[in-house]
Amino acid sequence: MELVYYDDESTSDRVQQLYTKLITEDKVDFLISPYSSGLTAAAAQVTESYGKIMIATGAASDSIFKKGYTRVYQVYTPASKYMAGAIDMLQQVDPGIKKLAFLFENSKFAKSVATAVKAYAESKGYEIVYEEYYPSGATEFTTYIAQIAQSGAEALLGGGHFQDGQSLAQQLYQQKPPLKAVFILVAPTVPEFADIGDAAVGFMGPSQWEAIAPYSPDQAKTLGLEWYGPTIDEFVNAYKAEYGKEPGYHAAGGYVAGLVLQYALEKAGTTNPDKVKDVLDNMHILTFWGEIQFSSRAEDHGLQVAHERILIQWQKVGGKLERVVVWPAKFAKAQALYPIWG
Amino acid sequence: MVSPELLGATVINGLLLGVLYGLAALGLSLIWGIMKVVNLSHGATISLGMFLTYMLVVTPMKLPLWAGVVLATLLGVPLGILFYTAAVHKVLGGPELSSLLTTFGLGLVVRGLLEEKYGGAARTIYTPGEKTVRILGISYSYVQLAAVAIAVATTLAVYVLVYRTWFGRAVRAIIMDKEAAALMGVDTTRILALSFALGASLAMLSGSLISLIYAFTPLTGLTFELYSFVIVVLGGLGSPVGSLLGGVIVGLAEQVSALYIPVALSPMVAFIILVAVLALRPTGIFGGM
Amino acid sequence: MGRLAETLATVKNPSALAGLGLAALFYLVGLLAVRDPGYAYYRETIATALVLLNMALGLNIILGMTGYVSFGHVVFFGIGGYVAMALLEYRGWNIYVAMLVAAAAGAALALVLGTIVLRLRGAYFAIATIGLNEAIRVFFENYQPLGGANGIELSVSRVANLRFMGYQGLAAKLHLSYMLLATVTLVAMAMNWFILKSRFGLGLLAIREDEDAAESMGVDTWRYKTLAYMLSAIPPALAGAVFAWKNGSIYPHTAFSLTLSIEGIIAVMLGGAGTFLGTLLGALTYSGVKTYLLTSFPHLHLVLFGIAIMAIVEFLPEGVVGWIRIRYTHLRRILE
Repeated sequence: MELVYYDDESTSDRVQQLYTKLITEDKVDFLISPYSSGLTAAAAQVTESYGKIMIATGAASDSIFKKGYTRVYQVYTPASKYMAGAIDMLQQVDPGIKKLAFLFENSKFAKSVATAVKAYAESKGYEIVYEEYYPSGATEFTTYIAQIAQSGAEALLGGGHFQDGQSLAQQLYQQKPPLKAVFILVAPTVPEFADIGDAAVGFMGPSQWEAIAPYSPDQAKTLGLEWYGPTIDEFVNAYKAEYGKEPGYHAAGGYVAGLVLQYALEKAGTTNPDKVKDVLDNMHILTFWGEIQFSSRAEDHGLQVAHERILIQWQKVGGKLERVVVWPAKFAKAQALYPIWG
Repeated sequence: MVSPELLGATVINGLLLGVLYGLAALGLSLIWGIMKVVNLSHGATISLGMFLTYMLVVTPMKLPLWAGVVLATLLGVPLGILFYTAAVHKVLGGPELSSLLTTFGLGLVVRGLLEEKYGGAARTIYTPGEKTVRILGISYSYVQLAAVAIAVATTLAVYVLVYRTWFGRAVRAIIMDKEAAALMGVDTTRILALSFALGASLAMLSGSLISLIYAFTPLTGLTFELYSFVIVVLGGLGSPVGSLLGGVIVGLAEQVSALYIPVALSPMVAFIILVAVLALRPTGIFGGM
Repeated sequence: MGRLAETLATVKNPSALAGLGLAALFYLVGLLAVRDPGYAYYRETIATALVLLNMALGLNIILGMTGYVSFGHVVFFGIGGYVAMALLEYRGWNIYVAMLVAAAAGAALALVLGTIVLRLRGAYFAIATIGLNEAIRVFFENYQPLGGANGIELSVSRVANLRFMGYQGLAAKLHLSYMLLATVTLVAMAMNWFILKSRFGLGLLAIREDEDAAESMGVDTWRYKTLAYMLSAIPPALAGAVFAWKNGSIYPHTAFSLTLSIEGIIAVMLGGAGTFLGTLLGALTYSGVKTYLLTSFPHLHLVLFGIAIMAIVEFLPEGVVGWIRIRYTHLRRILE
């Protein structure tokens, strides 16, 4: 097996050019998606045209899997399920909470997450008492926080990207509105979030994967699933040996895309795309990344249906800021800090 | 329903924010006013101020905050002269387009270097902790208030510099008639290079102060650059006080409007103000220098 | 009629023939790629260049010939793309009609925006166009009927029955969209050439040299500028429509990204503002250099690129073709 790759400069006009090059010049048999849903959508137009299979990693959109593609497979949990865990967790930790505030970025990703979790929260009896979407690149949230404080909201869901989410957390800490829990997209999942120091403590966020995630061959047995590939420790150690640092979820997501292909090729025993597609359509396995199963329905073919998101929270462990898994309960390694500011 | 207290708090917050916007626009305004160059590397220079401060006070160096701000601002002078030499000197007096493009190119160089070193994840320098002052239910950190005070003081100092010193007289002579100024013994190249350095140094100062309050990436300066266009057009080219007032207007418009319209639409307010002012009164509300 | 024949006869000029030759080459690569997938990468590389070329050809009319720096020109690329995608995905229209409506929408938007900004000159005009583009981007980010921040993505079913030279569905779209892009480019080239050769074009050049003088010489500058702005909106609007269809998606932050207009401006400058051949060479060279930098220096391409822009403007301010025209006056009749 040989890996061929290019830098797409994160612009969609290059993506189709480079995916065509991969297929027609480099003659690759299988493809791994570019980063982000928008670029994946542009790449899918090319890969589907050539009947090639593409494993999408770094693309969390639901919508592109509802456009009728038949050979694109998603390993990330889709945006629609990103924040469901936050609602489930709130229900269990504090059934008394009823009022939520939403302050998400007005971007494709954050908006999809918000739309889905809004419907889910309302179905569970929550009321959204504040709902705003801030423009990309926003830095100042103080007056929105003041409005949230007045709205009577008891928990906040929000964020969207790195810089905005980090500023939002900083300003929430400074204003300390009467919230009991705060869930922020993306920003808390990267190590740089610790830059904000003690302000980080208590913030929760959904993560695609953490090196502290709890998947194991034993668990596969309990769940009645096939275990495939390295264990988490094996993966983390191999990665550290190669790159000298801890793998984040982007790295793990990239690795698992290759792992899924390897599995499908082994099972199919051939590189014939139709046979490989059959395996992908019907597989359901547990790996270091978690459960993997793709939808084989026509209306959302390739959508990830099994991978669960975990919630992490920043806590002080022995005087050091760390991310710990606090949800789902069956995987949690620590008690959640609740309410957030004690 | 907006309570009077929330409205009051929003006005104060918009005011304080606006002062920072004003400082961020000041460098752009001076350079535009003095040498008729719309400096499209302005946003990248603001970002550079942020990351220089990060280097000075977080890693690799661990200087106190104030030293980081002062050093980042002072470093703006030699960097500004370097920028002037590389991107501006040769195209001065040519068509606007030339300097728009060279400064844009310069901005790409700065941004490219920052992205190469720091990637896309956000950095933060300082978190307020408990040292805050509460005004109408909103907490302001000491650092935040100090930043606002520095911004106001800087604006006034620049005003004095432009209107009360030999440097200012030389600059205004060049604005009126470059050749006549040269004949009268003004070293125009030196004055222009210093003016650009002053503009760059002010951009670095604003970046440095902003980096103490907000999280930032190599692209954060660009947001302030876009607002700076609005502010300069509002306040008039080269006018320090106009810059401050323009900043306050934009800060207030952005913050107060968000109480009444969806937050997502708030950037539109600034750009509509920009186009409206340009269409109705192209010399700015507060006139030129 | 005599004038028309005269104008048409100018096509015998070597620069115009070079343009026609290039257009023929673009079509040829598209046809070769239909037969042999080995040409698909060339096709895609040219497609990338053609998007920029259309932006540059549009800009050449308002910036190159008229002297107005339309920094936010990408607004027409975005509006063309959005109008087309809304019709294609939501209404199921075919691409040809969608393109025509997109072109009309681009020109209409230019008419409206022009009444606001064309009274401004120099850097003020440039900044105002940036402001308008940003305001319109924010509008699309919030306008839910057109997807808001989620954009519009094309369903496979919308092109399932599309047939083109033996291909069907998405593959047919990939081939056809390239051919349409080539056609749009040919149209933009023709627009540029005939404007440059017309009395209208002379009026624009007079405005560029000295607007007040042009006015006093009896040029109806307001009408000329407005018409130039509307015409300059058409190539990017058409390219935006085809590009969005080809890509199968459109999002506000990519459709209204200032980078494309700035690259278009640089392409025009590089070749020589207001020249026909210069715009072609500028856009194609620029796109080629960019592809090279991206694939060879993935990490430092922004830095190299910034240095290249500064060097071009500082050392070759008239552009390549402009420089040759000044240096070798006898070539002026050939290099237009």
